[in-house]
Amino acid sequence: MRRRKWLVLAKNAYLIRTSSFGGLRYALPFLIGVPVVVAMFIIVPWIADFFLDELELFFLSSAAVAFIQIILFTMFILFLTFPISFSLNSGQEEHYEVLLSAPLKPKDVILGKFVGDMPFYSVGVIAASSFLVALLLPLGLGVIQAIMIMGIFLLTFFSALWIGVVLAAMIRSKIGSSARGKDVGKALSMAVALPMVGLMYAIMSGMVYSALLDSGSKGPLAFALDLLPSSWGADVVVSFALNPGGVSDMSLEEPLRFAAMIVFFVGALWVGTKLADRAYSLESQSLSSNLARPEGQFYRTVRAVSGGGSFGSLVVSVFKDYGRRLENVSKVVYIIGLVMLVTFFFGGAEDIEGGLIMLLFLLPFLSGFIVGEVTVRGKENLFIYRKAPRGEMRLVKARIVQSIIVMVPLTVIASAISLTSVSGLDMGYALLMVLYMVALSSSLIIFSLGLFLMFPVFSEKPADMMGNVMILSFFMMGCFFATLFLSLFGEAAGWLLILTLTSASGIVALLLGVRNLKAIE
Amino acid sequence: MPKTMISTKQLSKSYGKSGQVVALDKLTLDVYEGETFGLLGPNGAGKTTTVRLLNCIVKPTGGSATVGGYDLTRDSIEIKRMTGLLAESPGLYEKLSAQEFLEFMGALYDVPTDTLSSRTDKLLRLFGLHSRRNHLLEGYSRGMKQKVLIAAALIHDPPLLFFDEPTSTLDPNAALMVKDLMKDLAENAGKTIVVCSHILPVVEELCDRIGVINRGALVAVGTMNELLEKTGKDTLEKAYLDITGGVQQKELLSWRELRSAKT
Repeated sequence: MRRRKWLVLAKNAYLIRTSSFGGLRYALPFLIGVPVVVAMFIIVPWIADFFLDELELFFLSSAAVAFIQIILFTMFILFLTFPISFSLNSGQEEHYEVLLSAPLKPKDVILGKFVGDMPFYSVGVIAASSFLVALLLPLGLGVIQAIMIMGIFLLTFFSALWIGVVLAAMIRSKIGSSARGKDVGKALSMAVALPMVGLMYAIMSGMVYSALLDSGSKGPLAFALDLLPSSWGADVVVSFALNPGGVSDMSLEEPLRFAAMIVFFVGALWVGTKLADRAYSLESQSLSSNLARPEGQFYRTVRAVSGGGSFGSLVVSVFKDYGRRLENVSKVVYIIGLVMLVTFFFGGAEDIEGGLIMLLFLLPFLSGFIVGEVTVRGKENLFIYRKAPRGEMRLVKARIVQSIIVMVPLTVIASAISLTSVSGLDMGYALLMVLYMVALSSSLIIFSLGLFLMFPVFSEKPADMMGNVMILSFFMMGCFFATLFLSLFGEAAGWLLILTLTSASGIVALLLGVRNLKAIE
Repeated sequence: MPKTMISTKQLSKSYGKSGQVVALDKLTLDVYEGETFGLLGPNGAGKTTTVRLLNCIVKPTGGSATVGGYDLTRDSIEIKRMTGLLAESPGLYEKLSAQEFLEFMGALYDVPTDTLSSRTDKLLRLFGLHSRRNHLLEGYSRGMKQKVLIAAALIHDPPLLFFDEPTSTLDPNAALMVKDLMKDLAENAGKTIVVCSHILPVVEELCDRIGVINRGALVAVGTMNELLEKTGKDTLEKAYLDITGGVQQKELLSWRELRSAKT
């Protein structure tokens, strides 16, 4: 008997996704499911019982629809963008070559990926929906209503995930399997995340909530959301909360909206499988390879700033390899984008210190992203330097110079953006603080490089890189709280303390990192 | 008596906390100036470890060695300066063009700027890459990348060259060119060459002497005639198989269910 190919692929996708759980992977859904059931039927209803009046009041208000709408919409966008971002970043065309050489259809590949990813994400979705159902149970929610609410969450998730999987496959196919395509994919994976973060910030700042609550005049946002299945579900959930009970308590509108969600999902599934033949193509869109542009004024300046000679050539080479990777450019754009979003949604500081406070926590990310790729090309790349006389020290020096050249203008730009939200700016003091930020970011570059040499990352997986970035981030938080504790924040002494701690720790980290670099085998 | 270029005494390398993984076990070997020496051995035998040790990329855990008269542990900078290496799985800056990569490698080895420019140009012409010198390496085929890497190993014109699998990814024309180049480097430029390869005809044709490593230990060394004489075989392939334990006779089709011969 021939096995269903998409099922074989789905099992494979699940095993890859859950590989870190080892032998527990088959029992994983049950291990997570049992606590969810206990929470759903015992713990959450017991807690909700204490807030019954407030819950009733909330679901009677117009805020309830907006609230559920936001939850479902966020879930929809999250599960739509996540597979795209993940797929673009992984860039493993070799797997597809194995698959495409086997006797299976492209729709098997796409369906297998979708079904394989489903249990992994479903756990979170079921947990979220059960929490809501459990909150509503004390209101007198019927069994059918409870099942339909969970169904709404699952349908929202399935639709988003499926569309995400299909789009990811098509984008990958479009950008091709060339080295350039992989680079573009990685850059896009970062770019895709930025609007998502913007949405989160908009929700956190209350902007979306206010726009949706303004139901008297239905604005463009509310109208746009109404077109998505997530909003159809939100109406049903709130309607059930207002009229809890059995099937006889339902109006015709609720099953109709639920059915519309099913139709949407089935329709998306059908269209997706029809489009599958266009996805998973290994055809490169272009056979032309990229030319290196002749060295312009910029690189001539970098060479001169680095002292010229052999070392100048090294810095220029390192710079070219860094700057020509779109992925690196997109990481930098991502951080600057974050600074802009934070300033837009949470800006309005009264003083310069307040304006720059968020930058204090974003600079570790920026420095980590710039320096972090020092070892990602693998040990073989490091061995190029190891083989050369005093090669390791040249690598370290070249990386410091290159990273500082990148970091300084970005710090100035980020500081300028952050300060735009400060009212009544004292230009002299602002300039001094920008210079301070430049000094701090240069220290962070040295600290980052030390960390990434101490704990080298030999893969391009963003998750692997985040370890060192988190250390930097926690260090900066520690410095910040130290100044708060000593009542020095905002004072010159406080800023100096942060700079001194960062510089001193950076030098120690660099010394340890260089020692480790020489020992890497 | 020719000058000894490489001399190892009980050179060892092991990995793991208590050194349980022995990559190279007490290697004692001399390679002479101007000689082309072939290093043979099965996958994982310790050839690449030997090459990495002699290029000061990894540190020995036992024994001693000199390269060009310099001590392996004390004079690593001098050794690095006088050796060129084509590694088995080399690193490459894919976002640089061939010309930029060679200039980068030249800078690492302090090749004077005026020499570097003309040498880069000549090497690119030699390997037939001159017309694509400004294309990024990411767009090169494996064979083309291998040519760039061979050129990079030669860029500082070192007296001692290590080639780890130099022709494995090259087309027959390019492989022949590299083979002739190695011969020329040894015969007319006086270079000492150490070649690791699984392509036995290459080793047979190029090498003055051959060493066979198996499971980290040097199990045979000598000229080809000496190896043939020692094993009583008539080809290098048979001698090599004899020295390394040969192929275990298995039922090569035992994995198939019993069916008729043609199905």
